[in-house]
Order: sequence, then C-alpha cells, then structure tokens
Amino acid sequence: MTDKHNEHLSALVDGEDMDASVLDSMLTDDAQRERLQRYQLASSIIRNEAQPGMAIDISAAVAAQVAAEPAHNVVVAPAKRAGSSWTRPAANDSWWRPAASLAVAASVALVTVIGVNNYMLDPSEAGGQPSPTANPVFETSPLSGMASPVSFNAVQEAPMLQENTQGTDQRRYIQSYFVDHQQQTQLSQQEDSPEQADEQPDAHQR
Amino acid sequence: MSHVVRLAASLLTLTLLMMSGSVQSQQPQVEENDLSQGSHWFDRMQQALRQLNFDASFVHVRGERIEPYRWLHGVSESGEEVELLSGMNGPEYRALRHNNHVSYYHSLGTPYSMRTSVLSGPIPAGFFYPFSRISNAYHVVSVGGGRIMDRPAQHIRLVARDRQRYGYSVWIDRDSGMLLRSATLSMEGDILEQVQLTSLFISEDFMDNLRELKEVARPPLIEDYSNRSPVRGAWNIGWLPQGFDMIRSNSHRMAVTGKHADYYLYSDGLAKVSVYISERTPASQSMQIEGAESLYSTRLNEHQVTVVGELPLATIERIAQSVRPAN
Repeated sequence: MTDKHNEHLSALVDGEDMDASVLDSMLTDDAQRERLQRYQLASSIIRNEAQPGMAIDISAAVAAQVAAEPAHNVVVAPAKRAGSSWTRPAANDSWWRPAASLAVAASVALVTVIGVNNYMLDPSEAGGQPSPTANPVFETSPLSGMASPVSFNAVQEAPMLQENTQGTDQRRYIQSYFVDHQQQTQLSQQEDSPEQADEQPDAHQR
Repeated sequence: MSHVVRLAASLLTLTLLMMSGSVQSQQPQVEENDLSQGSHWFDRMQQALRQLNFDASFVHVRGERIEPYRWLHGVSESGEEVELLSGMNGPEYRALRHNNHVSYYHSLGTPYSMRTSVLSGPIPAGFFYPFSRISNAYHVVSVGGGRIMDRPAQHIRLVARDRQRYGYSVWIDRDSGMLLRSATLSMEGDILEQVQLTSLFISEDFMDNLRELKEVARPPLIEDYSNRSPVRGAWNIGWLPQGFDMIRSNSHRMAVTGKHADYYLYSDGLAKVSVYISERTPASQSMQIEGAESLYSTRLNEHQVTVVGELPLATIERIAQSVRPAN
C-alpha cells in the first residue's frame, strides 16, 4: 500500500474529484476497499466534530421525514376502547414515528452539548478547538430561537404540506410523544459520572 | 407459576429428554430445568455480546419498515470494549462505543457523546445485562433448538410473569452464544418487531478496524437539561405492572412541540414506559395507538395524561387511568 494510494483514498473520502481509473482500481482491490471503509468512518467522525456549547439539532432531519411521509388518517379514537376497529399492532406500526435510526439520533435533538470529554485526543488533531468564548451550556427551545435554518416551523410553511396542515399537526403531536419517550429512555441510560454529579448540585427529586 | 410457563414446559419435555439423558421425566423437575436452562442461555448470550470479537450484519423489521445494519464488537488485548453500529440505508447513522462512552453520529445532525455502556439501537438494552436484572418481571424458558443462519441455535423465550406486557423469542448460537435472531411478540403471539442477523464473522483476535476506531476523537458529552427540574404538580400513579421501577421523574419541554410536561419514566429492565401529564391545550386529544410502542392519552380534569411505552395498549391504558392528583 503506497502513500500515493492513501492520498487518493483521502481525497475520495473528502469528496474531492478524482480520476475514474484510479477509483476503479481502488474499488476492485479488496485491501483498498477495506481501507476505504475505515477512512470513511474516521473521516466522517472527524468532519462532524461538534464544538462545546453547540446545540444538537437534528430537527431538520425529522422535519424532512415528516414532510416525506404520506398523509394518513390518524388512528384516533375516543378514550373508550372501540373493539374491532383496531388495526393489528404490527400492521399499524408505520407512519407516525421516524425510522428507528433517525429516531435514535432525533431522540436527543434538543439536548445541549457541554464540555469536551476526557476521551478526546488533542483537539487540534481533530480539527476543532474548544471555543473559550462560547457559553458552555445553553438550552434551546424547539419552536423558537433556533438558529437552525430548518425547524418544525419551516415544515408547516413548506408548500407540499399546505393542503394538509391538520394532519401534520396531528402527526407532530403524536410524534412528540414517541420521540420524547425515546429521548428520555436514551438519556436515562446515561451513567452518572463524578464530574457530572459535581456540576449538578441542584435538586433532583427522588 | 404462570400457566404460560407450564404450557411451554410441557411442550418441551420431549426436547429436553432428547437433549439430556440424565433429566428425570417428572414434571416439576422439567419445569425447573427449562427455567434454569433458559437463564443459562440468556446469560451466555449476554456474555457473548460483551466478550466476542464479531463482525455481523442484521436487519431490523418493524411493521412495514426494514432497516439493515452492520454491527462490530471487540475486546482489545488490554480488555477495552469497542462496538460500532452503522445503519446501512438512508441518512448515514453510526453509534460508536468505547467501554462506557458512546458517540452518536448522524449525517443530518451534530454528533454527541454519552456515558453509558449500552448502545441505543434495535437490540433491547436489557439483552446486554444478566438475566437477574429482569427476573422480577420475566421468566426465561428454554424452548429447544432451531437452525438460524445455517447454525444450530438455541431458542429461548422471555415470558412476562403477569401477562401485562410483551414477550421475546430469542435464538442463540449454540456454539458461540451469539444472538442470532430476536422477535418481540404480542400476547396473542403476533410478531411486533424483529432482528435477524444476516452474516456473522467471529474472530479470535481484536479486529484491526476496531483498533483504529478506538483512537478517533469523539464529540462532546451532552448535558441532560431535561432532568433538572422536579415534577411541578403532585401526582399519584396508582397502578403499574409488577417489576416496574421509577428510573426518573422531572418536568421538561417535550421534543418536537416544546410543550411542558410533568414526566415519569419506569422500566422493568426490558420495557420502558413514560407517563406525561400536561395542561390541556386545544391540540390535546384523547387517543390510543397500539404497536411495538403503544400510546394512550386521556383527559384528567384540566390536564392531559399520556402514557407511551413498549407495552400492550390495555396495560398502557390501565396505567393512564390510574393517574390521579395526589391528596
């Protein structure tokens, strides 16, 4: 494996154009292909490096998902069980929640990032530097003050959804419970570390 | 002893006799044997998931959705665990775990890290811990063998002790203890959700690709703001199925809508259930949805009580109906 080849790999991964014949040879060489996979992972991990103080927002992703979903009649029934009108569980598990992988990511869409963790290597190596000026923590609200270009407000303004804002509202209402349940479930798996405990002197009830 | 287990046990007498000549054919002993075999296999799987070096692919099927994943796990020479889960369809999604430090990457979002020793993914978190953690709520029964991925597999079933929640069928590689297939079952036996491995490579040694991942820089840890404020109102949740313990309670703004809610989270080690109590707004609706995750929402005076979780609708409904203002 030559350095030249590795340079090509790096270029490919970073989305730079490259000669088709070089690409061909890379994709047919097993060892190269395997290497490419590893590069891709490391590259996307480094490229996406988040900064302390940055709010996590993948509401855009969820918004896109909601927009792409076909309109359905919501399975809403009066609070008394309606017997046979119920669809079978497995069949009805399709439209109101984001895809599982998206849901996992979405599940902390509104949670804020704090300082760099101690597993992080030299920050300069990762291409990111902890910003000393940024407020290390700030809370975001999903419906206002979001710096993101796309939010749920934007979803409702999207032309394709104008005809069915009622359905969209309902979907959002239902999704808010499913997504929030997943968010809280994921967060509850977090183990308390000593540092975090120190930073949270305020009362947790029970 | 629930009659479910007894039924399963009697169905299995034959299998067990074939499997082990020394087992006495007396009914009570067989039952006991099925149960201890079951927990033995469950714990073997749990250890395999923590100790094996593997490179696997699987599909996760839920309703009409099917999602393929690649899943790698290894333990380095110095005993460090590295695990990687990648979604193969749609927007890029990866979760990378190094011991008790997990980072989530999504091509449409900002990556973040959490301190936890389990990846959040299609495989229930409870599978990564010993059976004793869920034995208050579930029996585990060994129900014989099968062929999964062209391998001899051991089939075990997790059966809720009280018939108030879903069960699981799990197939385990007899040779390595690896999870090969799992299905979440409704109380009627319908499959709600399943995971099926499609390829599996087990290695003696820590794999090089994981070695490299051990070194990559990680995104920052998240701060859980949602768990900082205590519940505002005073509520009494009158009923929960046996074995559910409260994991957290707080008052937070909900995802997507930003609405404030008083919140309680309970878990039996496998299933989790969330209880939301919020002020009614014009958008509040009474509704019920049944599935791998069910939802029941009902009015309580000026409030809306909504319960969501991996439970049958009837159970969710009973929990919701049991919520009352305290005193």
